[in-house]
Order: sequence, then structure tokens, then C-alpha cells
Amino acid sequence: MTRASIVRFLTGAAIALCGCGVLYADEVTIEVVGWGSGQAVVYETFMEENPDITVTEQMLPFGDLIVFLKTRFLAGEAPDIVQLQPGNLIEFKDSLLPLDDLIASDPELDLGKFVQPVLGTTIVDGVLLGIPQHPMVSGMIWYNQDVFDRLGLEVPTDYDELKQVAQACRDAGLLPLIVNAGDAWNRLIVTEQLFAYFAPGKMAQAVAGEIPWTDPDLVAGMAFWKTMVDDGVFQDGVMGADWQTFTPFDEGNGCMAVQGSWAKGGRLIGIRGEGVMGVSLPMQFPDLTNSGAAWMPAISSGHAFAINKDSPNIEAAWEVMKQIIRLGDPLANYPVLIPVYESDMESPVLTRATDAEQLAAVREFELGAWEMPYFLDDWLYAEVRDAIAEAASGVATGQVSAEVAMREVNRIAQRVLRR
Amino acid sequence: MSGPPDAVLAQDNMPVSTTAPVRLGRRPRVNWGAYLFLLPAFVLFAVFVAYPIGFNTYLSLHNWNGVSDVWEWVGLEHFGRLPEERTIRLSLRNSGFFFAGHLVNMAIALLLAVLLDNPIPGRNLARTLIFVPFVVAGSIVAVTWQTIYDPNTGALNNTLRRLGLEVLAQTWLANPRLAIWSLVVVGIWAGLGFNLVVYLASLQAADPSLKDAARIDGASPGQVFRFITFPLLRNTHLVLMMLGIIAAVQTFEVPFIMTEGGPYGATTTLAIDVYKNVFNFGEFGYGAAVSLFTMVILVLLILLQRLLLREQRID
Repeated sequence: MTRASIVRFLTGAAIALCGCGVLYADEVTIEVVGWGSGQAVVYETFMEENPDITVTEQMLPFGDLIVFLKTRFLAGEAPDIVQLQPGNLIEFKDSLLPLDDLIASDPELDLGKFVQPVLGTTIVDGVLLGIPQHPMVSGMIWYNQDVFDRLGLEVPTDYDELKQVAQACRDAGLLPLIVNAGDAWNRLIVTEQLFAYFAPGKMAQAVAGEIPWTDPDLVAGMAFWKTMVDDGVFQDGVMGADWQTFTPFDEGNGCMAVQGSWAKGGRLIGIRGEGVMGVSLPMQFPDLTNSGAAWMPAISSGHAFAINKDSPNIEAAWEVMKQIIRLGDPLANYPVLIPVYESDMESPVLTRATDAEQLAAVREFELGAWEMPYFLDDWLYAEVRDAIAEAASGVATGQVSAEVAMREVNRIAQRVLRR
Repeated sequence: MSGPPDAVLAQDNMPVSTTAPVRLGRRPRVNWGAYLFLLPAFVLFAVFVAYPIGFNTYLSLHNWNGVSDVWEWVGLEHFGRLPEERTIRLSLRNSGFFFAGHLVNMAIALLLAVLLDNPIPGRNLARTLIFVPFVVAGSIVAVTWQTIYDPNTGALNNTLRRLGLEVLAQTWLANPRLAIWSLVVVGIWAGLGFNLVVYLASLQAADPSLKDAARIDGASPGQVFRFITFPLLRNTHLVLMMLGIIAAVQTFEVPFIMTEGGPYGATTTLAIDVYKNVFNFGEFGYGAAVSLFTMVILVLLILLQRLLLREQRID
């Protein structure tokens, strides 16, 4: 090869590389970062329809996600789209793009189609910051219908009945009401129900700082943790229980389990066919005051997608978001709510004849809960959530009185509100 | 006889300079090459030690949520909060419990080391088995013991029930009085191998003639241990104690996974407090103050260690 041919080759290569650069300059890459199993199919479909936009998806363990995102935002290199829990939106609110105007400007989208209570979980200071997905009901209980039938038990509707059912389960060598209360989130879910029954409406007032957390009704609600533990309603060692505590329930060795409707994945599909014993169905958290008070579900969403306000590709990111709304978790809005269940019914994993009835029962339960008076399972400040969960732990284990525990909650809440 | 001349005598009486003659007007030469060799260490220290401490100190004087551009100056407010916070008091108390567990750990390790220092059958296998938990990841240790401690399905309570000792079955992690000791037991189990290896190494490095001499003088095995072996290991005791104190103050992984510091702070630690404040609550400023407080405690303990070792050298 002569020197001239080498020069020609290098020149040609340089021109070709420059050409590539020009070619890719118009292409956009949208980075999505979140946790869970991801939704590759959604993005693949999107990229087929929009070949000039590449979507990359990075899924992290949730425990690492927030730290990862904070570091990326801090470095000015945040992803274009982030998947967060609604409760985390407030932490990132200064870095996220308000979506109200974008949605309003798009005739294809109608906020009215969304499950309205769930939409509320992604509104911070009156601004819609995220598109919620996976609406769910919490503060509910799953019960093992086969076990109930075998023991001749009825679904309890008040505290006295709950105690009787719990005792019957214990007598049969089964775990009564299972809660993995070693986890703060699950303590909080039960505490919300206690507050909802003993101090209706007051929890929201306390969150807003309108009343102190030392309000007697709220204190009474918190104190009931101890009563329930002493009455043997929960499984032994409830305050140290982790997620493995649900295994006996799935194996047919437990009667009831406090888990949100999100657990339907495992209850109905994920574990079915893998040896789940008995059909589990949802029930309302019984009236703990024995006064005939109505159950008040907590409404939440599993996660929300939001756009980084400093993304250099906001337009493309919004196109991806629209695809997520259209094709992502179809529970995101009403029109596709039913189809997702229908598709579940066609799942080959569902083999038992009872599954169809079970699915229908769960669907009816969730739809019913969304129509009831509810509260948002979305506490604005993590410190307050943690303080309440800690208080529950202290009261339930007899380390501290409800009055003292709630004073501590109030102190922390006041400090957070001042901040 | 004539003596030396007066001038010479006068010179002999003059003080003799012990230093090299200094040439006026010239500075001593600086060996820049030596500084060049120190530069990498200095840069590493500056980047990985001095800067983080400085930044952490600066952070502790502000309110910052870790994301926002807004840094609010609060001065020493975060440090003023420290005495008020229940979690700080509980963390210090729990560090004391973890250290107590470490002392028990050291005692068991020492006895095992003395035993395994002898040519008994199976000692290599025993050393390996005892050391294995130390190399297992803390998260795995935590999850394993969480399963063992489960009051309803765990191996511990099930074993007790099968032995007819149901009365001893407990809610190991849910009972606030038991939870911390349940974790201390995990710490002993996981850390025993390290202490054992350190003691064994020290025993094998000790001069055997001392023990032989004592035995020839008629000392019993107990007296050999008390008057020869134990004092010989004094340095090892001190080092292990200091490592134990540091570990007790910095404990995070196992209690965080097993109990999240609960119930009601019964098993919390300073490291858990820092983690929660920084990553759960977005209180980077307060978290920085707690970590600075932790650092001060550790520095004081290290100074104490140096003092004790110096006293030992003087002895």
C-alpha cells in the first residue's frame, strides 16, 4: 500500500466518520431510570414507531434508586424520565417538570380518564408532577377462603368478630392476622386504619398541621395497637416480622394477611400453580371501634413516571411518557382498567376454575374501594411517616405509652412543618 | 619544660561547636525529590480524607435535601439537636451493648484459641468452620438469622418446642428487651472467627520458652494461662478492644436488615440514624452532623487507644 493510498484511506475514513456524526446528530436517546421489572415492550413498540428516538431503560433495586437519582441530579446528569414512588415526588419537586400544561395541550389525553383518587397521589403543591401507575388499595386484608370454610368462619366486620376469628385460627394452630410489621411501611398501613376508625378525618388535619398529633382521638387510635397485640389478633412477634411472615399464609397455615391490593399479583397469578394453598380474597379492614363505622380505604399508586425539567430532550421525553400512558401498566386509566384483568384471565398460569371468580371478586373489591370515601396513602414527609411507624412500634411492644409516643410524633412533625 | 603556648590553651578552653559550620547568606538545601515522593499520598489524603471531612463539616452547618440548589445556613442548629434526639441516646446505648458482646466474643475467641493452639485432632477443621461466618456477607448473615429468629416458623423456636422447652420460645426480634441481645448474638457468631485468628496468630508468635520455663518451675496450666499467656497477649487484647469499639459505633448492616433499628429504636445505631436522615428523609445537613459526631467519638477512642498503648510501652 502506497503512502498516497494510505492518505486516501484515512481521508475517506474521516469523512465517513463525520458523516456518521451528522447522521446520528438528529437522533435522540431518552434515558428512563426506575425500579421493578421495567416495561421493555412499551419502549420497543415506541421505538418501532419512532425510529429517531432511542429509549434506554435502567432498572435498579429500589433501595439504591433514590441515592442513584439524587447523585445524578446533583451532577446535572439526571435521566430524562424517572420512575418514583409518589411519596418521593416531593423530594424531587424542584427538579421535575410540571405536566399539567403538557397534558392540557394534548387533545389525546384526558385527565378525567384516570382513576381520580390515584391521580391525586402525584400532585404536589397543586402541580401534577407525575403520571401514576398501578393504582392500589391498601388498609385491606386478604383472607384464606378455604381455611375460613374449613373452620366455619365468617368474614369479620368489627373488632369483636376479628378477635373471635383470630382466636379460632390460633386454636386451629394457624396464624391469625399476619402483618410484617417489622417493616415501617406495613406498620403505617395498619396505623392509618386505626386513625381512620378512631379519629376520622383527623389524620389529614394533623398532616397539614391544623391539629396536633397529640389529639386525643389520634392518641386513642395509636393506643389500640397495644390492645390488638394483647388480644392476640396479630401473629406472635408481629413487630419483628419481615416479608417472609406471609409464607405461612400462602401455604395455607394462616388465616388473614394485611397486604394491599398490589399483592394480587402474587395471590392470584405469581404464586398460583406453584403450590398456593387455598383461595385468598380481599376483605375490608373491620370496624375497630365496634360502632358501625364504615371502612375507609387508603388509595395509592405503586409508582409514577416524571420528566426531568432540565432534560435536553423534553419534547421526546414527553412522547415517551405518552406511550407509557397509552401502553404502560394499563391500570393507569379507566378505559383500559378492565382489559388488563381480562388479559390476566387468559393467563396460562391461571389453571383453577376458582381463579376467574377470584379475579372477579378482587376487581369488584378494588372498583368498590375507589368509589368509597378514601384517604391518600401518601404522606408528604418521610420523617413523619417514620415517626408514626416508630410510635406504633413503641406502643405495640409496650415500650412507651401512646401519649408519649404521639408527643414525639408531634415534635418531629412540627419541626418538619417549620422547615 | 615549656607548656603549650597561651593561644593554644585559650583555644582549648573555648566551647567546641557540635554543629556543622553554617555558611552565612545561604539557605539549607530543600530536598524537593522527597516532597515529590510524598505528593501522591498527600493528594490521596486530600481528596479522600480531608476534602470529605471538610465538605461534611460544611454540610452539617446547612439544611440541604440532596437535590435542591438551595442550601440554607443553619449554623450549629443540627448539633444542638443531637442531645434532644432519642435515637442518638439509644444508638450510644446500643453501641455499648454491641461492645459488651464484643468482649464476650473476645473471651470465647481467646479460650478457643488457647485450645486450638494445641495439637488436638480436627483443629484445622475447627478453625475453618469458626472462621467461615466471618467471610460471609453481612446481608446474608442478617437474612439467615432473621429466618432463624422468626417466632412462628424459625429454627430457633421450632427447636425449642421440639425439645419441650416452649416456655423459652420468644419473639426474638420483636421484644425490645431481647432484640438487641439477639443481634449481639449474631455479632458474636459472625465475628468470632476474626478474633480467633488474631489470637491464634499472637499465640503462635509468642516465645514458647516462657511457657516452658513456667511449666518446669511447676506452674499449672491455669497459672501458665493467667501469668504468662494472658499478659503476653495484652497488645492483642487492646487492638481487638479498639476494633470492637469502632465496630460497635459503626454497626449498620445487620441491624438495618434485621430490624431497621426497631422496635422503637431498641436496636438502632448511629450509622442507621445517618442513613435514615440522609437517604430516607433528605436531611443531609443533620445526617452530616450525626456522622461528624460519630467521627469525633471514634477519634477520641483512637486517642484513648494510643494513650493506653503508650502507657503499656512505659510500663
